[in-house]
Amino acid sequence: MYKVKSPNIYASEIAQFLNAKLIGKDFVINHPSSPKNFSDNSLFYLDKDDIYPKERLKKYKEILILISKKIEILDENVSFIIVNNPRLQFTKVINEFYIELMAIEISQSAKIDRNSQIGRNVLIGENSVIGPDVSIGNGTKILNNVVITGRVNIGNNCFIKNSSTIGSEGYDFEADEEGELVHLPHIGRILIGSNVWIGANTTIENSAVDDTIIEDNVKIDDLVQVGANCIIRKGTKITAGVILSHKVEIGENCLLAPNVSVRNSVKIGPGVIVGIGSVVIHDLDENSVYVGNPARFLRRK
Amino acid sequence: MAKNKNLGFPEKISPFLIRKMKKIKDEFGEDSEEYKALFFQYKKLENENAKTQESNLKHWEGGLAEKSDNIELRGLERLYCRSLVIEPTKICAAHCRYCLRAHYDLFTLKENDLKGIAEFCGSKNVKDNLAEVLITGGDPLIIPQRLHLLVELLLEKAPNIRIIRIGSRLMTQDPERVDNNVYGIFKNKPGIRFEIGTQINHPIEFFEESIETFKEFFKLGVKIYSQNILLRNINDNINCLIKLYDIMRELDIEPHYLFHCVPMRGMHHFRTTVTKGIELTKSLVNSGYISGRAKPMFALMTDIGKIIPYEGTILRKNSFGQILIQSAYKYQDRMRWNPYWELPKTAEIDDKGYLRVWYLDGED
Repeated sequence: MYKVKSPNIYASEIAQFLNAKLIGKDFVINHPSSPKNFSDNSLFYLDKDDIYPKERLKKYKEILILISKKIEILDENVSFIIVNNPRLQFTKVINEFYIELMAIEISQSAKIDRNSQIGRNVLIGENSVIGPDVSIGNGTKILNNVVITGRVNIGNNCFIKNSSTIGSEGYDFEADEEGELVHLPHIGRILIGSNVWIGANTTIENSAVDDTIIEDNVKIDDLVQVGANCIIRKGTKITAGVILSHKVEIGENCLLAPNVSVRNSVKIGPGVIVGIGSVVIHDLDENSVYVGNPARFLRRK
Repeated sequence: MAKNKNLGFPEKISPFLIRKMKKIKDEFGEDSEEYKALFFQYKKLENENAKTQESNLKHWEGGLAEKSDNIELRGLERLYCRSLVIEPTKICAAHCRYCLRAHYDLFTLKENDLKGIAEFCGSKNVKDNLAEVLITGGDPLIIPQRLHLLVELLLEKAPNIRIIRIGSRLMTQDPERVDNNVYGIFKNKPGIRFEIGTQINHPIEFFEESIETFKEFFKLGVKIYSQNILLRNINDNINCLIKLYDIMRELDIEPHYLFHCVPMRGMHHFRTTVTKGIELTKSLVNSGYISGRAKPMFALMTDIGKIIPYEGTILRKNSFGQILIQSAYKYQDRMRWNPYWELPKTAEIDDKGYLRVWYLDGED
């Protein structure tokens, strides 16, 4: 995915990149760090509630801190850049200066059906399998051992981590006259928007007939099960271990904390937060926080 | 000598160049041409504060900014008919002391700004006459991921763009920063011609690490050319220029302009006379020392654009040391390309509608 690098970058350059002013001396910064564990020539950020590590700072030299409020300079070895949302700016700095992306290429060991449609600048890692009815947009990165089969459209600039399965056959059986369980072939599509993140070992099922839909900017963590015919609207975040049964619909900009389980056909309104380990068995109203088993209303956001 | 205050362009020398300068000093000595070539290009000296006739803070004194719905698009300039200049950042790895943009506001464009620029490049009123962009700055290769985003946005929103030129000195100022993030910009972009315009002013700048980066770019099909600056006491002698252009040819770096150093504040000590530039170019061209394949065009960067001093270009010199230059640019054409362009005070329109411009000469 990337390797960490340690270029010598002047603090003033980081300030200029962030369109902000450097307060203090200009020196070389060669690695990012944290307020608890920094060393010479490093950069970290302080959030509003973080404690200024005054004593530790005395032991090191040439430290750059991204911070949201003005602070008195106590040590000439420390410089500051005042920014809104230091964590976001720290993220941008690391992305731009301190990681080197791996070369964009399709691995020799990947099996890609010749009828699939692969966009420009698509990375496909070792041993991944891409089926014939799959379309992948520009700039999407698919890491190792990923299996994408069935009728799947993936947008631009998505990121799919190791060993995930997209187009997993839906779990759906009907008993026949003799009581034998007969599987209903799942021929529906999976439609994934742009800038979607899909975590490692996550599984997304095809639906029987209709579509499984994951809209733009949805971020799905590792070890998540997305059942057949689910719809996940824009900007929603689903963290590790979440289980969505089939036909679940989740509105825009929701957050499902780790290990949430959602019963089939439940609708979750936009802007909802569901707390860790909750079990959702009824529809949830918008812009509220729910917790527990079964999930109960806690408060409005 | 009177002082010229308010020069805020800080000294910035990349750690790579600092190492190289030390090595060259140890190897060739402090008074060597090789050491001075780097030292004078990057070291901030008292000479910059001298009060001289060079008073401009920008190399263009005319308005160039492009506008959309009458709102100025930051980071976008248009001087020529079929190309646009995009400046995604003003950051460089090192500050050349004769930098054209030393007194510009510092900024780095955000993702949304780049999207707006790409949309402008592909917009209905622009696209038919726009096939090429020059992305410069600052040094755009210093923020490769943001530059890559800009290139992708241009591909998506302005398919009329077929040539992307990128101005950069990163290969000689800090080649260790030219990595996969940079090379990735040029990969998987079918149908686009990429060119990198660099600037190498002295043969000593062909560091081993720099040559490796040029080779990698060539492997990716990127064309590289160099616009060199004629700098007093750095490369204003025929032997230095012969060596410079020989190495460029050997490495397959195309010679482009040899620029006369622009008349900007703090640069007087870098500026030869125009006559000397013409004489040196004549010697290069007519000496037989270097191949015709390696010969540059001497050019002046005036307030109305680049002008190559062919016969009849220089009309006269006044008592203030300014030369009147005849251009082949037509005022009407210029206004058609960019209706927001303003005629600089130094320029005039001749009776055939062509632009002439006064250009301050240097000193030998």
